[in-house]
Amino acid sequence: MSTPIEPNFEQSEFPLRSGGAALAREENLRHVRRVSNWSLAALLVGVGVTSAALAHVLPGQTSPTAYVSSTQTGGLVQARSGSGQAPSVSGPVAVSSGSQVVQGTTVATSGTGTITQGGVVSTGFTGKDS
Amino acid sequence: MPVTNGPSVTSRWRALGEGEVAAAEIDALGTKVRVVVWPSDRLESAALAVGSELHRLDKEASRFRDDSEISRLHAQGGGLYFISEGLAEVIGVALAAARFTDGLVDPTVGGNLVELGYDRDFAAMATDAPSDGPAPGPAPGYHSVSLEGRLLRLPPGVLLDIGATAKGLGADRAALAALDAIGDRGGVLVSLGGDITVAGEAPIGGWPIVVGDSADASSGPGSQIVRLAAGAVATSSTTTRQWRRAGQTVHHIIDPRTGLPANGPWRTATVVAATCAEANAASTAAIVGGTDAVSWLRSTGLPARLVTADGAVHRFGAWPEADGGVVTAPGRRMSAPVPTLLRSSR
Repeated sequence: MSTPIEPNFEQSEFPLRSGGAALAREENLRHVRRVSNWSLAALLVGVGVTSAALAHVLPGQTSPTAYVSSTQTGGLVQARSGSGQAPSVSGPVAVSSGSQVVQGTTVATSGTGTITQGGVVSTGFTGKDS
Repeated sequence: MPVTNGPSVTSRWRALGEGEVAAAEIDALGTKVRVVVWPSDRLESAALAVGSELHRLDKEASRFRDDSEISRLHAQGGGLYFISEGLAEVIGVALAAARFTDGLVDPTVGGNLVELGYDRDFAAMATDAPSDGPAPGPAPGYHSVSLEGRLLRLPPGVLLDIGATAKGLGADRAALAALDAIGDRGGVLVSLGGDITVAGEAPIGGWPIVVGDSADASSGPGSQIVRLAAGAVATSSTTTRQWRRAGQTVHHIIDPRTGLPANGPWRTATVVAATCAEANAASTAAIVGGTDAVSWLRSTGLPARLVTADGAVHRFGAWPEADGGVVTAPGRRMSAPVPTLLRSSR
């Protein structure tokens, strides 16, 4: 069973006082405290905003370069509008399956190079509809 | 045409065919890489842009190169590192995938893969590696790794493997670079071992793509043709990259909860998403999560095609029933930075 808590006026922060001067003094103190609290809050917000701004320009912290926005309909970039020139492709041009393993190639080409002709023609690659 | 190849070149682009679209293929990152482009006369520009992106990714994040940035991090052990912008993107996407999949995909499985014998390029692995250590335990967990901007904190002993998202991210980066390279008109498709991103204007009706559940599944009863106009498609499968360890067949998709190869009901999972990194994360999560992953997959709304061990096909979301059906990538679900284009060729 819980014990009821009796009010204890003797321990209250602002004990009752008599007289108009005392009341006025209390009111002034409250006003000063309110102003101080708001000033402190404003100062904290200001420091936070400034810190956040500075954090983005710290030396060595480069901002992401040329991020490309995504669309809500999917895709890395905004799909280009129909130009009326897009080809019609009948046969499959790629396969998505378990990753193929090739021998002895851990690195990719770099720099400039050439596309050799006469290579393997992929299954089903037919280009344009006839 | 003059050829100025860097020292890391091990193969050259092979032209596959040419009509109003053109394609070329190269062996890179231990797999087949393909770029398809229209107009066809932009193939070379696109291929070179793709090659540069692959090289960049390899230098940043390959576990199988001693001189890659991630290998040098691992060699130093744990600590606090200021890493390159590119590797920060790679690891950032891997950690985003872990959050997106609630830990079903976890980049801290690197140590587990090494313990299972996958510590070098797959083609160089022994066909039956002996077991010379204790059975792997649960992965350390992605929560143990923190990344703030380019500041990476890596606990001692934790090895990162970003295989569940790296090829997807690589396809995304490469497609953006190729699109930038071909100019104002046209479209591109980039496939990194079957993880595919398309960008720009697709051919009429979308890019036709075969979805299958084996490495050579270009046709047959287990495969289906879908058309993709935007976004990406990725497939994870336990039927590829298998090897034997101590007499048992294991594969490369690790369940971070056990540290062992995933052993669920799906042998192949294909997912369509806005980015290939997201599709790759979701397809891997489906394999790892098994039946538990179905409700998660449904909650994402991502179109998916799962194949059971006995070959039964299950479709989720807006995956088309019919052969040749159009599959549409929804908006991005995974909260991760979209790939960066380091510099524009224009």
